[in-house]
Amino acid sequence: MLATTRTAFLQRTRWQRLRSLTMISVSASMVTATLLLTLGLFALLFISAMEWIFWIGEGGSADVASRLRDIALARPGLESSVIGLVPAIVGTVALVMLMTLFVAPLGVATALYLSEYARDTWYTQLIRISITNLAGVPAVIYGVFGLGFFVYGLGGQVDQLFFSDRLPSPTFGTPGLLWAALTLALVNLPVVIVAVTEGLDALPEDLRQASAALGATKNETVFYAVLPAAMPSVFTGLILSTARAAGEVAPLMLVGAVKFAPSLPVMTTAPFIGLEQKFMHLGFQLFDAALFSTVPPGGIGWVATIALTLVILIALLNIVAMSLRSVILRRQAVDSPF
Amino acid sequence: MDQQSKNDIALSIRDLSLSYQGNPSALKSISVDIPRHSVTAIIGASGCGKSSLLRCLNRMNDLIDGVQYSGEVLLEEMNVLSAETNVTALRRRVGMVFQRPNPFPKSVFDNVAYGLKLSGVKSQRHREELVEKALRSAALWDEVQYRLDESALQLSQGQQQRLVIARAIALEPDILLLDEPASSLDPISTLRLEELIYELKQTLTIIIVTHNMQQAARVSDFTAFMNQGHLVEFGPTDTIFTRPSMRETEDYITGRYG
Amino acid sequence: MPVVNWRYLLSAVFGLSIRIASLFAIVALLGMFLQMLVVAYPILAPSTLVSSQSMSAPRQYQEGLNRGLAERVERLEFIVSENWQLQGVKGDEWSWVQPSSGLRLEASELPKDWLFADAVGNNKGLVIFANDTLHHFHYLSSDQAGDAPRAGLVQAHPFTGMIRLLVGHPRLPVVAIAGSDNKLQVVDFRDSDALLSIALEQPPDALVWRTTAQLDVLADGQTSAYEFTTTDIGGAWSRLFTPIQYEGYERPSLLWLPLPAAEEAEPKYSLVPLLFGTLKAALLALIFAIPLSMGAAIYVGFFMSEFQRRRIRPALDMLAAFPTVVLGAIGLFWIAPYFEQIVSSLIGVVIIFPLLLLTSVYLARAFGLRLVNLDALDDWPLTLMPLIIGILIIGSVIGLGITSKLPGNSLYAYLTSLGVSVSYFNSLLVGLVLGVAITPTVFSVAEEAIHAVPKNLASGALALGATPWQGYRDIVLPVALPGIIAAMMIGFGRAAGETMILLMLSGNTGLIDGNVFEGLRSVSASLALELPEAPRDSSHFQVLFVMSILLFGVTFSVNTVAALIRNRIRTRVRGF
Repeated sequence: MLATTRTAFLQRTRWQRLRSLTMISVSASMVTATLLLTLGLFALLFISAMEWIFWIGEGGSADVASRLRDIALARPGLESSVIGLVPAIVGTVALVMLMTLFVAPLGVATALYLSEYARDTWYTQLIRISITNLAGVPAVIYGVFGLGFFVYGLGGQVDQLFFSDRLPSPTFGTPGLLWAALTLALVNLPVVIVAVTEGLDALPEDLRQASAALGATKNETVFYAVLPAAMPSVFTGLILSTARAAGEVAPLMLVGAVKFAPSLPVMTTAPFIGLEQKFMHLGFQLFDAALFSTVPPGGIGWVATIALTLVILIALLNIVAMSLRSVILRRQAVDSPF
Repeated sequence: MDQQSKNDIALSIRDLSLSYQGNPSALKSISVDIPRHSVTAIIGASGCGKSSLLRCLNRMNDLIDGVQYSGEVLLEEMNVLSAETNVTALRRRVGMVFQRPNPFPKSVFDNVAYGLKLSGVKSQRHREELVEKALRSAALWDEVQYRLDESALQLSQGQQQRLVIARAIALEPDILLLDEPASSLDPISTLRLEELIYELKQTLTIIIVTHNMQQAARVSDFTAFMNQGHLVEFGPTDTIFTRPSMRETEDYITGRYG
Repeated sequence: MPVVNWRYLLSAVFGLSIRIASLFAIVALLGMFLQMLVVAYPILAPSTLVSSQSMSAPRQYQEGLNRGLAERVERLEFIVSENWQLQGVKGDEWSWVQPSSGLRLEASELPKDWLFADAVGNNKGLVIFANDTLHHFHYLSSDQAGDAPRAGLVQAHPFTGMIRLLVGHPRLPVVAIAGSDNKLQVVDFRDSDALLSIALEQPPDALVWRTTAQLDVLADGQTSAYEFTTTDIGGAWSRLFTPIQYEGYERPSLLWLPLPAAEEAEPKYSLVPLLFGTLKAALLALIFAIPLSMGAAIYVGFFMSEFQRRRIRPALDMLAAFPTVVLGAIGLFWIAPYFEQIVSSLIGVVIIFPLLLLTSVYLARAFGLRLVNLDALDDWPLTLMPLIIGILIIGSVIGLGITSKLPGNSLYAYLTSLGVSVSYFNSLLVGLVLGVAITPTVFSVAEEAIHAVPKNLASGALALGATPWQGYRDIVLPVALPGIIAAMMIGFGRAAGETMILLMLSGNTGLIDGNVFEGLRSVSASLALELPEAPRDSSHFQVLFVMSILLFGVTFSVNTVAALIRNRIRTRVRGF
């Protein structure tokens, strides 16, 4: 019965195939467009930045060396809004490292607790789902919380207890490095917990059983068998969270980043780190330069230079995390039964 | 070859070679004629290329990146492997059933009707008739006639596999390719499947790839034995299993290697 | 003596510290919401009026006595604007008077049989007691310069009982009333259900608002003070969401003006413009992000081979390496100045893209070019690259050509001639850049959903003679659809909470306007802009916390729904 319609049917398949090819081409071109977009944005920043850096003569700089020195270390002046990037990079790195100091133990401990210790009840499920979804809550909300709780709440208490002689001018009761790091730690805590939990869930159950079969207690199993095996995913999660922290500006506007800080939050003498100080941050510097910079020629080039520095920093962190992840995937592929 | 014998050939494979990335010689110049209205079994050790051969016949190998063919596969004067071949139309003439049952996550009825819809059977009544016919041919109608609206995933594995066969034969293909269809079934379902294959060969040409030599002996009329991409021997099943002409075949059948 | 097992001890300490640390983290994360509620809660607290001994200090109130004892006053004058006064004679009509010219016009909209009247809210409003009703009027400037102002009724509130004194609050639409029954009442027009009253010992001679928070009562030469505590919304949380008739405005309006220009004017805290702006930006972002991310997700997740997919995904993920502040800067310097041309080009590309793609594909096949193997199209995006660049260029040229032929010779001029106002920082610009920002997220989630559908389902369809597109559309899409919807929801959540792009590109104007060429102000940008400036524990500070709780709640629940959908699809796919 079908055979009688075979010619019409051949005609029909031709149209179907053409439509298929068109739809595939459309979706493929979206891949191309996304790649082009990424490349284009990067090229835009790169060319603008390079043009500005190497632009010498009228309206430009005297020579490349002095331009580079300005980019690194210039202090704010009237004639130029170029403020050296080195303090901002130092501030960003100090912030990110301090944040990692908070987020690493808390994140790993929570992930271990949730997937190794906690019994599977409705409320642990609820906590798990909530933590996953907290990763999608906008960072500015954490900034609001950080301002309300850390700066005004905790900071005010600390001032009253330890720095009452300096009141009413606040020491810790004002935005600063410590509160910014704690706030960013909260922003990234769910990210790290989710990444580590996924790594723990991917570990074969045999590992735990084998350890238990050797007479290890629960704690010993987690400490000596599970944690070392999960270390790669811990690092991936932490690196991804630092990449995110380096690019996150909104919460910092509320809890401590400033356009220009007269001194670095890092010192060569004790206590080595100024926890209560305000600090400079690459992302915030970019925001400030983009909105308020008034350098007449090359204003765009200066913005592009900051943006490029930030993008390269984050891309490098991402690449490290991705290669780490692919190494893990390859290692797990060997173990997997497929 | 006279006219009569030519009509008895469903598919004629000439000098077929296949290569893809990672395996430059998956198939090495295979030539064989598959008789019409018969069951041909392809046997051989894992990785000998029997599935690759089967997947050439309806160009499912195209899904693999960098695949290259040479030689020809003739289906009534049409070269299956030619670049001009309408692969979509070809696959409607050469149906295929995979190792694991893969019913669509739709109702039983929609599973069978899907291919009909693609072929342009528009009227719902006509579709219902053809679905019923296909399900009857696949010996599934009695079990599912009151469950047509249920999800196909509710069926047992054996039923799912027969549903997949019904789905393929609803299009009234000339040839049905079965790629180890019983490998994930229990013995009773396997038995029913073999009975079904016997029924179907009245109207179809069936090529079945199997691991299981008893199964090949039970269901097939002809058997092809393959080893490392070569077609070692092809002939009537009785002959292959009782008086193989090649030493390799004998070794494999008697279990001396593999 | 038992041997100490250090290994055991160490791990036990470790286990204990894990429990403590995770408890700490969970409490911190979940307690966040609670803490924000605690900070925000006082905004909802009702107003209070309490006797305050500490504030009472003897003081002379000459003018207060004269004005407060309105019962004896037959005639009242209020300064409305530079040129105009409002005069009322008890039992007779109200009239607008222009002192410079002596012009006198009847104000018929005000009740004639009034007993008491006083100015409220920084002389912008007037409270009149007549016919057992408290009327709250406000002045509206005339349509034409030089004409008399008008008075509009804001609210009428029935009030029974004899009134002795009536005095308006200097900043808010609130009046203090002393009744003949020796009861001191404060009537709040913002929340007229809340009646604050206190019994007085003797009939008062005068009531005076010494500050916005202190009411002095004069009786028998003695002054006693009462403390009136209120928030800027007077405990009426519905003022955050419903249109409010503010003094001086033509009609009830939804306004976000937390720091009004005129000092002591009532701040306006409607959240609706901000929520509207957030929603508008997020939806526009989705419109830009969906074609790009869904197209790419379908291709990478379904048509691409596993090997090629593993290579291209990191390249696509690189778009996520652009932090939003960088995207905002790019928008500011490289997109906003050329936005008219970019929109024109985009229009051209959207028109020309399907047309050109279809023709080129059709031509290629008609000329028998064996362009592709239909089933395995791994290099298709790269093969297509020159074609796509060509289409982009041709599309842009055509788009620019079309818009230059429009009346006015440019897109913006044409839109303006149609009555569509266009601002430099507009919602479309925000949507475009925000769309780029959320594309990696939407792509990644959608691609995972599509890729999770078992491959053998699609091969089943292909073996029946379905084209790859039919296989995708009929078999894979229905299974992956929940995941794709979840991807869009997650993208929406990201867009709704994104701050930097909105801060830099949205213009931050709190309009409720469907016009995509107008600016907008989002919740997130308001938080970042205003919170550092808002005095701690002020109403403004608390309203900002209310806003962040709302944003938190919306994004959290959107993400929860998306997570539930994704979990369901995961279990469904596992069933195959």
